[in-house]
Amino acid sequence: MGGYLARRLLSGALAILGIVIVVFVLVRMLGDPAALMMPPEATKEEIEIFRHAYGFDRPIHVQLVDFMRDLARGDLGRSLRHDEPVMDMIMERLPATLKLSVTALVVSLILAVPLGVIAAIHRGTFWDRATMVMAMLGQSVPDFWLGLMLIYLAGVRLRLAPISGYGGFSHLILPALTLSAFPLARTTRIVRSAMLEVLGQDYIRTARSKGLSERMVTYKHALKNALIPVITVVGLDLGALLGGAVIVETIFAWPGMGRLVVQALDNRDFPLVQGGVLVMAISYVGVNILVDLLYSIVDPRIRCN
Amino acid sequence: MLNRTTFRTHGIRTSLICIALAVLALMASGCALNPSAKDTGLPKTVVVAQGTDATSMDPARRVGFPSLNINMHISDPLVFGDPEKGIVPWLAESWSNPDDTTWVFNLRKGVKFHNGEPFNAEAAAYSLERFRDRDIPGLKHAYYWDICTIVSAEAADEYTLVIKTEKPSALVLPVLTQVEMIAPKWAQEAGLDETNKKLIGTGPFKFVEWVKDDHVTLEANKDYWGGKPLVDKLIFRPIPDAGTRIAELLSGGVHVALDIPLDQAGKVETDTTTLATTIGRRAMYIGIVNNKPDLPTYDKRVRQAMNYAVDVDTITETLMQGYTRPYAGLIAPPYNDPDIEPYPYDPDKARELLKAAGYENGFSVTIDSPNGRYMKDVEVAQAVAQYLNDVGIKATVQTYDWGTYNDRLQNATTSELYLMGQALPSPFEQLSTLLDSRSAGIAAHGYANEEFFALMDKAATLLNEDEYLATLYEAQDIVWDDAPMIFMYHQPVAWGASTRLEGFTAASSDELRLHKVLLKQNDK
Repeated sequence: MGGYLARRLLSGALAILGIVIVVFVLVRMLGDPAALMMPPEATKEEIEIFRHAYGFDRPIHVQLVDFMRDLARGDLGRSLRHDEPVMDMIMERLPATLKLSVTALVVSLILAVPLGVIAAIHRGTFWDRATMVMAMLGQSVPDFWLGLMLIYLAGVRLRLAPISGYGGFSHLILPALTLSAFPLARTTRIVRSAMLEVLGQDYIRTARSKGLSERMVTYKHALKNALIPVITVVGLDLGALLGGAVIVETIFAWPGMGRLVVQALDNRDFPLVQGGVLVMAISYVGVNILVDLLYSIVDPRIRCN
Repeated sequence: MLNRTTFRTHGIRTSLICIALAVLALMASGCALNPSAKDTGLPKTVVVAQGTDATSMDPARRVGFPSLNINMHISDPLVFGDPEKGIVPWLAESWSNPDDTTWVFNLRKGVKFHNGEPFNAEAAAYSLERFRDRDIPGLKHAYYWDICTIVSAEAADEYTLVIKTEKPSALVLPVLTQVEMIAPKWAQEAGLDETNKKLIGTGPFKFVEWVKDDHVTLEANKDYWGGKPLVDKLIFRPIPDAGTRIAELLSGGVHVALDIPLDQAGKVETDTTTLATTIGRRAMYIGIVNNKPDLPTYDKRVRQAMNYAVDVDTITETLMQGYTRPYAGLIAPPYNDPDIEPYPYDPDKARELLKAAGYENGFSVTIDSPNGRYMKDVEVAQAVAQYLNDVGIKATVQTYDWGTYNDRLQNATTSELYLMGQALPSPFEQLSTLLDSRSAGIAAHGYANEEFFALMDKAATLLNEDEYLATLYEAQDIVWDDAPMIFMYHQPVAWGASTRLEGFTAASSDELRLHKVLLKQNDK
């Protein structure tokens, strides 16, 4: 187990390093930050002073070496546009992103598991079809459309929930519902298909023939095994959500990581983009390692391999 | 079998209850905890929705209008750029020029910063000097000082500030409209990190808190020298999506929503909300590359033909929905030249001019346009292309994201035509930024007319406003004839507001002022 963990950590670290280098080079291909930071009336001389002050006039490999050296000291640099330490800016947004993504994921799981089980054990019935239609809609409806509809119906017409912003639990409702639609739909489908597969297994027939109650068969024998693929998918979802949900955060004016990094990209705020992507990469890779570990606990065959 | 059926029923019921409870709990908590969906509950708090958050609270480091709108409520400049009256006294009550390179400002007495520090000439000199302190990363603002050649700002006595310039400069006052005061003792003690997050000024509202990307709260300064504000609190919220800003306005969550897209303007006209519009000072134009002899656009007649070919009136009536009209001169009121008339729409004359220039059979051009930077930018570029096609110029539109587009502008690598908009506070800056190719920037496309340059150089040193404006009018007449651009319209300003706000109007400068706005009680 220790060797397995070490291998996973090493490959994770290499992946993060690769991402950081690729992003470092790619953002510099977007163009010159001076063009966006300096006013249009700035002279060429002023622009040169700006480039020199921030070191953008140096060869890219020299900039990369400096960046890696600072990174090793835990310094992600300062935002060009906000003149603030990047680490502080990320730390200010991370709680909002965590709150939204974890809530959306929990809501989707609370709803998806029972829905998937119902659809599976009632295969071919009205309940199954209704669940699958809902899942199809949830996967195909774009976030921005669903968000705007919820804003209009629940916010403007019925005034059930705050439309935007960050505050109490009530502010979470609409963005969390919007954000949970896709994982809810996907997880429902996966639970259903995994349950169907498991319910057809010999050991389920054996369990039933032993005279176990149907509830015991479903929850103890079938669902437990059906949840293995769900762990992977939910892990991936969590990794992706931790990076911030750009569209949902923008529509609901949620002060999270996604919005921060996208605005930074628009403004060519290189240090902020690099820092943001680094944190996203660490979250994604970290969650993936956790999922792999969890997987090996739930399914010992993986550990043996 | 009975067992299995019972389980199924039980399973469905449990699941449905689970789902219903989850949804109900979410909704119910919304009913109980939501203050903004119904009414703010704070009748004298005005909430403003802007497109983006402030970048900094420091006047020397801020970028863009959202930051400026907040800064201007917390602190004051020495002189104020009034959209209607021009530059008027503010913290400086009067000023004079004992000689061409000296400005003496007599400051308002009895003004205090929000922390009790006195506002005096020392404080003003400190606030001004800060702007050119190259150790402060607001390097982008140092150019202000460079363009008006300020060499020193010093206190002559308690309430007299003396500014010296290297050369006579007409730009001192316009630049001072952009420099808000900052409490000197506090700023020096607090340091750069703190002054980035907070501002202590002399303005009508005091800084309370800034939760990044969520809100900035200000409270009324009851001792404000210009009179106590009529509301208790101001909250600025960044809401990037225009649809959400409108929804918040309609639901009463905010009282002012800035930057309403024109195609959604109708939604804002309701019983409880209204649209405040005005013609802004951002001059929209299609720049024409005019310094390359191998291009047809090198010929003045071709450029004039393009101006006759485009029906700007129809574009403003349709795409801008009548919220603006073709401008007569690049400079917005109150500094516009009353003698200039817009080019009329005359496609026959356009064809004649093209024929005279030897382009009877037309030629091909590309119009570059940013996508989403200005109101309906791509649609306007497409409309212009269509009008040019009508007179035989085969025009196609190429769009870019703003960053790439800006690079092309700065490096003068655009296509023959490019759509652009520019709004600078002073008429001189407006003309020089757009057209003085000696100073690079977006004017780098090479409009080079020695007569125009000479007039601009002269205007820059004129301290008498009448002479200064007359010289700029002359410079503008030359530009109008040379047609280095297709002259279009000033972009409208469209803001949504609650009908409970009394005294609220849109400002052509795009700058929001809520000091004198009153929030009426909800009569429902």
